[in-house]
Amino acid sequence: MPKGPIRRRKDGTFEVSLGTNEREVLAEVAGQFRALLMHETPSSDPSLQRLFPPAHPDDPIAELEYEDAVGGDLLRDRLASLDVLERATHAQTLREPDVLACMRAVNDVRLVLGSRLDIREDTTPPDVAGDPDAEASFELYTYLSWLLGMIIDELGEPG
Amino acid sequence: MSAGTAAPTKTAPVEVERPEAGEVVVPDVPWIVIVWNDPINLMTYVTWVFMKLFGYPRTKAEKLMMDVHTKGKAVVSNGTKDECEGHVARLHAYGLWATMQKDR
Repeated sequence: MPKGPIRRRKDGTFEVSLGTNEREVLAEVAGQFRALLMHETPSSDPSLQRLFPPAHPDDPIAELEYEDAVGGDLLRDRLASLDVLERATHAQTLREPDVLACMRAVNDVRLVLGSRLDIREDTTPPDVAGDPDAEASFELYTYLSWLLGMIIDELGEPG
Repeated sequence: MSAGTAAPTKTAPVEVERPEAGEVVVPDVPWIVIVWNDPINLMTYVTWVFMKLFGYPRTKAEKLMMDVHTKGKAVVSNGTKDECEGHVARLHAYGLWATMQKDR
């Protein structure tokens, strides 16, 4: 059976078996995504709206209160998860909280890529033929989807 | 204890708080948290998040996930406004598309 990229050990830690190329790609993606989060907003880049959806879509005042109370924490948590993902690209072993952070970061990147690719159904690939940037984005999206699935499998039942 | 003759007593006035005119006391009606379908989040991921955040057994988490997937949305929790805002914030942290509303 092929070795997965992240595998739980008997002692509860996780062995990281990412290839060199995977580590380089993930580190680059994490850096680019951090820059995006720090310099853009859901208003300036609509692909970020999926990361900060409204809690009260029909009540603007309640929504403002929610954003004031929660928005900063959401951004800080996302940046912290990206930090863990970047560190994980140099690691051979991770603790479970770090794997959880990597899982959230990988999914955050998928959400933004998926929004930009206008993914409609998870079974229908978007039409990216002839657009090298979109093809590369979809390839990355597909890889991150696979990686996320492997992480979920390895985490097993949440504690 | 002396059983002396009781003297006439006066009752001290007591201040009673009354609602301000026009003030309406609104009960904290239950709120519900709704997760909406999206084509990006993996079904296994959504199931895992429901189990992690709410402690639901896998069967319940998978049913809710399938409701989200096939019906477009599912009510995943309820409570006071503060409780539901906490639930929504945690769902948002995991990248799920969640909203809340009064349960009416």
